Amino acid sequence: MNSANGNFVAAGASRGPVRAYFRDIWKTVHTILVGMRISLKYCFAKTITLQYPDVAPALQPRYRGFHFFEIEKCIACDMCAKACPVDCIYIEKTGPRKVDKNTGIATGGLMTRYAIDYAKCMFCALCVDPCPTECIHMGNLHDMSGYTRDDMIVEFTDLAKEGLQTPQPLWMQSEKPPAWAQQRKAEWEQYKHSRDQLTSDVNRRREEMAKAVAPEA
Amino acid sequence: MNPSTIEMPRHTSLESTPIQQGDLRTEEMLVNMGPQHPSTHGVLRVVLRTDGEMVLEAVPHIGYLHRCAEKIGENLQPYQYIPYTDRMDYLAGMNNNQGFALAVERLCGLQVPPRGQAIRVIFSELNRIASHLVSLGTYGLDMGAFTPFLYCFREREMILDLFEAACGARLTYSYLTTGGAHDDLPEGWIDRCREFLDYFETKIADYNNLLSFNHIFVKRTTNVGVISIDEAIRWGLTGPPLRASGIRWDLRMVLPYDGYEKYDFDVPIGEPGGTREIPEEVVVGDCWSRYYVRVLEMTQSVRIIRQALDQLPPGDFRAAKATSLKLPAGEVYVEVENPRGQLGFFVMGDGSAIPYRVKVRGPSFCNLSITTRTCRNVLLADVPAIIGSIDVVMGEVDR
Repeated sequence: MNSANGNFVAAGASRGPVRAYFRDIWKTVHTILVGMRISLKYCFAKTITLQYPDVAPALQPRYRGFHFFEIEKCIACDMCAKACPVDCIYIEKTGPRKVDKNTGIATGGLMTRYAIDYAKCMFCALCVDPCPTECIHMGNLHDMSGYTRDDMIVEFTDLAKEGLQTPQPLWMQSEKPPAWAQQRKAEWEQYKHSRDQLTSDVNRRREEMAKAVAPEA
Repeated sequence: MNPSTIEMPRHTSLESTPIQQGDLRTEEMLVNMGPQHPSTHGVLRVVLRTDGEMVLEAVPHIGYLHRCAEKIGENLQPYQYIPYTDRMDYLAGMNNNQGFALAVERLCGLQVPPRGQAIRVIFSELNRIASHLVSLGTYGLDMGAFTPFLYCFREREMILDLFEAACGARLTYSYLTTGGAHDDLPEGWIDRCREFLDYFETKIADYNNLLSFNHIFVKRTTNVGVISIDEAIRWGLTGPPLRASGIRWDLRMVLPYDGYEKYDFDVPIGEPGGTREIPEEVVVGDCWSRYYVRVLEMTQSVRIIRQALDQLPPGDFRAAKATSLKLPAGEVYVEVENPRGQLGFFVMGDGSAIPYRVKVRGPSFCNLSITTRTCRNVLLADVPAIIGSIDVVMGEVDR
């Protein structure tokens, strides 16, 4: 039993059960060793596992995460809500809104509510396609959670009152976020507080955004 | 085959009869396998009538994942229903999207532009590879081999990255939609895809050495759960389980859709052992054949994708006005070759934008029915081997 070639195996098949028994054992050990050699190769290879909470996931540009919503451009036309297969977008307004062609900012009635129920949302991006003012986009947030079903409803109008745009994700809420999230959090906070110091177009837009949801417009 | 020679399967009674063996009197026992058994890939409950280690009968009980998918289809416009088709066979979302989109297009007489067709072929074949990788990996898990699963998932992850680059989702794609594809391919995607194919082709030998030709695996799966040609046809099997029984039937070849006739590929079938590299223990139609047909299909998918990438025509990727379709009065039934078999969509229109009736023929549902036949008088340990080799996805069985 010192040969590993196919002839021996083929000959062994026609012999008695004892030969077949030992042939099975030999083949088992042999094929396991073949597999072990492949596994051994990877012992010296570079690790490809992503240690997720410590390392940021590399999301693609088209990633369909939680929505990025620009309330100052929204005319509350209900197109996104109509396209939504699960009816998870809630829109309320006091009057018709219209986009000013020069500034690109919607004026008119007040946006009293723009909310998305993420317990229902399928992230299918069908709401993005019909938007006439291109104010709703799929963002790159993927880590948000809550304790109740009501937590899943994101009130974009309430966020806009605080000067925020996208829902607060998990990495932002945590006390000790990983390094990559710390940086993003700092940027976010800075963006939120420096609203007044921002000049020119961006500042104006933020003001309009706040105006769109102000109690008395 | 002459239909007159087809016999209907004989029904076995569920009455339990005590078995007399010498002085020892044994009784049959009913054992519930599932609904959350790790070897069933979803919530499948199998009631086993056992006598010691022998399984006399296995009856699958389904319905735990029922989500009224067909009824939802009768309340939404076709383009809105596409995200729901993702969730039927959640391991092959692209193929499901393609099936429903094809049915609607045929009903409306919508012409898909050539680029859209080529994109569909590329993505459905990539998803076939991804789905078969899960199938191989988890089948190894069922048989107690953990390592191949990790390697399979490593490659699957690369396919999911490609999908994410194109459509932004990693599982529920909604990418192939009515009229073609939702978006065009992103810049540099074709080169990335070619890189992946070059890399992936070298890895198939690894799977074979790790799992396919592992002697323990071979002994566990060969000559177990053998399905003959007659049985396979009689029970309405499709996909790899049918081809493993030795029938060269693949809808991509037989009734080509989305321009599959332009591509050159083979349809692998189950072959008896002893020839070429196939182990001598293999019987046509056993669990190992069903497993190995999937391995061979992956290489064919790579061939198709390469050709599609080479021939990718310029132009539109989606037909105009594909989101405002009026379904004319009439009905259509379209089947596509899913990784698990033939997925059929029946769509009936009544002149409005919303279908009057949507019916789905799920390949896993039909393939699962044969477990009652194959899991008869087998060892208890062979039941996961048989069910795993059929590769059911419960989301699609229950819908």
